[in-house]
Amino acid sequence: MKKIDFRYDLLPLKNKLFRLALRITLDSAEAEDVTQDTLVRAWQRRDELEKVDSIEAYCMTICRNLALDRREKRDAQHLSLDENPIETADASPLPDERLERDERLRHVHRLFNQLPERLRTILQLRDIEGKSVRETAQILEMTEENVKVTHHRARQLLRQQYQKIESHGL
Amino acid sequence: MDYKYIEQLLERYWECQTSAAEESILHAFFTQEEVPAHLAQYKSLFEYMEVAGGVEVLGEDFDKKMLKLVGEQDTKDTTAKIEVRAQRTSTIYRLRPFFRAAASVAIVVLIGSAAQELFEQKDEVQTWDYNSNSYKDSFTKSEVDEALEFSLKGLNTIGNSLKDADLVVVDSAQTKTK
Repeated sequence: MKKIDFRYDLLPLKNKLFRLALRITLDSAEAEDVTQDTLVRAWQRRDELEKVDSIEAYCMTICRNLALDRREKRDAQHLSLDENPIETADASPLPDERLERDERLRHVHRLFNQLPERLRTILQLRDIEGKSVRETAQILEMTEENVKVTHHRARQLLRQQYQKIESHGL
Repeated sequence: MDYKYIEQLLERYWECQTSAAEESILHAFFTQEEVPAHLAQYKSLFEYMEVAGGVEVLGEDFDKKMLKLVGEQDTKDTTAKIEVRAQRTSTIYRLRPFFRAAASVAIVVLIGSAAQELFEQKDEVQTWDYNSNSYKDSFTKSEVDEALEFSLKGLNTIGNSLKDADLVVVDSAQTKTK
């Protein structure tokens, strides 16, 4: 198969990887570190990478695993410092001008990031990045059935949040 | 206006029963400027997904950093490759500078000798002596005599043979007239 070129095959994935890492870590600096580590690791394994169907899916799997590792480490640090883990969703960064300007969009941003990691990652891949069930299953190393169930749960939770807003009248 | 279709689609959207095409209809509907009041609350959801999918934070600085990071490993790899190659094509590769030197020396010598020849020829033309007094024979008297004798002999034999031929012709003419 064709040779992997870092500049043309891996580097263009940077923002997709960053968005996924940010959705998991909820921290811009950490997401950038994760993206960097993902690209370096993919490059080191380029011989293996030449054989995979989708370089992108392969990189996103690495990215998610690295992001989860970091989150675990960070959470462990927080727990050792104080008993109550900090709710990170409200303090999660706004990586876009429009998000900062628009109060309604900021609200949805918080809704997404308050969901458990697995659910918001599924929403990120399926609804924001537009990945198919198959690709999502490949990236998350889950069965397609499991992806569908988790996706359904995520949308249901989002819907409940919206219904709450409706009944409270925001 | 009737928005039943959109409402139905939305209902199926929450249940994850919409196809990709139907979801793109919902996206198109909710990202337009005017959305009816009772559906307006969902506008932010679809707008957010659109915005979040287009977030591009990492720019050229990141590219430079990454290329530098990966480039270090790259240069190590390429130097290793060159070493291997040098061993493979060693003799020809090593002698290449000598071939070049030899070629350039040959060219210089060629041009030099050609130029020399040209100048020498010019000298000869300039010193050409037209004076007949200073002319000297390049051969001896006896040689001239010999040559003269030889040519005279030759002429004699030719003369004799011509005479003989004449006689023969005359004889044959006389015999015909008889």
